[in-house]
Amino acid sequence: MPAFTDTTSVLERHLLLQLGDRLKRLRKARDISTVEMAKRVGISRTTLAAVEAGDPAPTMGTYLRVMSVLGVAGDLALLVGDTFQPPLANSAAGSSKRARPQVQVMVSTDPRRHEAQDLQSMALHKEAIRMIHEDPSLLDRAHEVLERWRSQGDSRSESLWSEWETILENRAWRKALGRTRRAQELRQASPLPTVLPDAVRQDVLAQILALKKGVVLGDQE
Amino acid sequence: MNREDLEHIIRAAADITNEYEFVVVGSQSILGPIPNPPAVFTMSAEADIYPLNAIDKADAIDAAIGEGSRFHETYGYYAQGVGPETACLPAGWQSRLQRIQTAGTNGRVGYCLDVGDLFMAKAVADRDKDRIFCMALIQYGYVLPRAAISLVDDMPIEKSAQGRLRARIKRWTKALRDRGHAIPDDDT
Repeated sequence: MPAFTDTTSVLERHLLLQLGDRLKRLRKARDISTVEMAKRVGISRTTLAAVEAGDPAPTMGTYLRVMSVLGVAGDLALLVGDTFQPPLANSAAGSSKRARPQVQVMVSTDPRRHEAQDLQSMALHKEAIRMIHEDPSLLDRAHEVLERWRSQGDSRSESLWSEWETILENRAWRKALGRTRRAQELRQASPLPTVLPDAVRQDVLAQILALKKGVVLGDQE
Repeated sequence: MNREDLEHIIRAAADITNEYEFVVVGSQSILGPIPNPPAVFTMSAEADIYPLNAIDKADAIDAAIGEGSRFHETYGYYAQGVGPETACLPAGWQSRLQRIQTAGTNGRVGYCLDVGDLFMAKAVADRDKDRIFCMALIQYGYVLPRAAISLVDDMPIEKSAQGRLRARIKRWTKALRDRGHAIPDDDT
């Protein structure tokens, strides 16, 4: 399997989600409440929730402080070291005649936890929102799709579609981008992915498919 | 999604894959054993499905009638091509599948999970939405707590996880009783 040295947006999202999940598991395993954890780290519970949701918005410093409190800051040694990079040509390691150790990490989704499907939905939404920012006329298309669905008669998604009217009106995307139950329900009834051009949508699906099979992150030659 | 929508998805999946039999897992498989359940069970616009004898074709379903597809845009519901490993189910679930085969499926077959097996898959997944779904199954009497607990030993999970699952079902049952719902099986 070829090693990827560039990450895709879906893969980046997945890595952050996995990091957030891991930090949450570690906190629970140590029996630390969110209130206590936020206090120890010196952040708000909202920021802690964002970290544990793998949100890209919190700073790396915040992630690091959470990791420190949980006793796993040492893992950052992998990042601050040059494990994944070739040594400089004029360094001792660079002039060594011994073969450089190969380090690769396999990243994939857990098929038992619906991870790939959740990630795919999230990625389609992020992409749709990005495109709406670039081309606001796509927002009108989302409105049209929603209107058409609602005109087809009684549907059990009606309450969610009604909420989507408000989300589109206010561009309140965060409501649908979280990992809460409500956000997941909203994504399932969302018109946003339907505004994506087919090629863009297929590209996201291809990234997810690659991740399902397993992507290897490895040394940069 | 309603039963008619699910039958449409089975029919469309058959057209895409040229397969005859499909397995529906996830919340909308409730539409097999209970064709017209209360709205709380059918808010989802997505059905998880895979071809019984060609699991690798699930991705083709995703591509053609999945989230964001023209199919989704047209009808407001969609399919999600998954694999059998998506749902963690009690031993023997295959023998309890509920068959859907109607004019709406164009004669093709959709096998839905038995409601008890669906409950167990959701209970072990234990996300917020799963908890609400499972508690509603108990509340409406579709699943008896004692029957669910008797299936725990058949779940392909470690003993410690089985213990947690048993405790979870008892906790949900108690919470429903505390809210004033009459739940049978007083010994749970």
